[in-house]
Amino acid sequence: MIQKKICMLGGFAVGKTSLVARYVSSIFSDKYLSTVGVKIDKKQLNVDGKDVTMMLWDIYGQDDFQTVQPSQLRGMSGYLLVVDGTRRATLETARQLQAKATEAVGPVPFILLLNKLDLAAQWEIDEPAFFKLVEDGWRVVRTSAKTGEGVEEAFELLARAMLR
Amino acid sequence: MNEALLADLLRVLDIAVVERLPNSLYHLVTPAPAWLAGAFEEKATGSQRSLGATLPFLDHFLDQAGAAWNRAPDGKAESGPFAATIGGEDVLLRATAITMQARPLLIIERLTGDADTRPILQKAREHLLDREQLARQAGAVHAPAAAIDKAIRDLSEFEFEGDVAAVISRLQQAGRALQGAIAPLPVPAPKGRRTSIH
Repeated sequence: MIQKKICMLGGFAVGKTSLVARYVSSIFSDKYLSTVGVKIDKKQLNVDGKDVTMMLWDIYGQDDFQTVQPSQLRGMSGYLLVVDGTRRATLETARQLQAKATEAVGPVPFILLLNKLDLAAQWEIDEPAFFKLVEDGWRVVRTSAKTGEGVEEAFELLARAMLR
Repeated sequence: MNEALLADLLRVLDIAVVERLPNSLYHLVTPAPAWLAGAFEEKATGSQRSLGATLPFLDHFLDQAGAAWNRAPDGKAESGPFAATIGGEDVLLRATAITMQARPLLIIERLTGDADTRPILQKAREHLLDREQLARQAGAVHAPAAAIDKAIRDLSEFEFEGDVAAVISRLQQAGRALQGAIAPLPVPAPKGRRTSIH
């Protein structure tokens, strides 16, 4: 069995924990519960005939109170960079974390998740911004932890990229 | 202090001490607090137990812990807080690696009370989210308020008399009051509500 460490990175309240809960347990809660420290969940899946155990590291959101430490990223095979589509500042945080992750572990696969698609009417990150990210070579998936849209696709896309 | 008293004390303090054994196994040095007992998978080898299934973070921490054990007797490494679900309950823990009497030990503490920073961070982040929401609302007010202010200044360029002049005067007063009221509000980002990336 192949085992891969995947980190969930992003600003606070972007939906990292909710995405993991949706993917691993198919559940969602509207109540925001701030993450402190690290929580690890497991998910087994089969990608193109290969059994993979994904160790999902839900790391607290980066903000003025908590900073992601390089030691927490060590050994990761890939990561999901989560942005809250309704809060444009979270995209800048994601860019900072992407730089930090590259510095810590090198150029491992990652996917940017534009989350909270169920609130698309309130999004501050518009189409040109989305396509600019794609032009920059970033893989971007629009997700909603609430409805589940794009969630499984995003994790599987990352798994494939890591196994390539 | 006798051993039994020390063990009771550690249990009351929600602290467990385990000794690292080969093959990802641990030996309980002190009786496990109730919350940790459910985390152990008993192995056929008696006192040897596994923690990896419920506390996978420990496997990661072993790298740092190993470095600390190699610096015995002074080596020490702290894991920082990590969360786990044990027996259906979410607990916040912290591990510390030390060496005592040549034994590689992990002290596993449950962070409760003041040491559990979750309620404080929850409040702080809720305040930050409220402030961000306020900034968005302020952004929606600033632009029309500036337009009103400009219209009033434009009107002031003209000569009015009588009732119209009185209305203009009241508008000017109201405009100044509005500008004073919104001045402390967060200023919107220059690009407006939606963002593009350059």
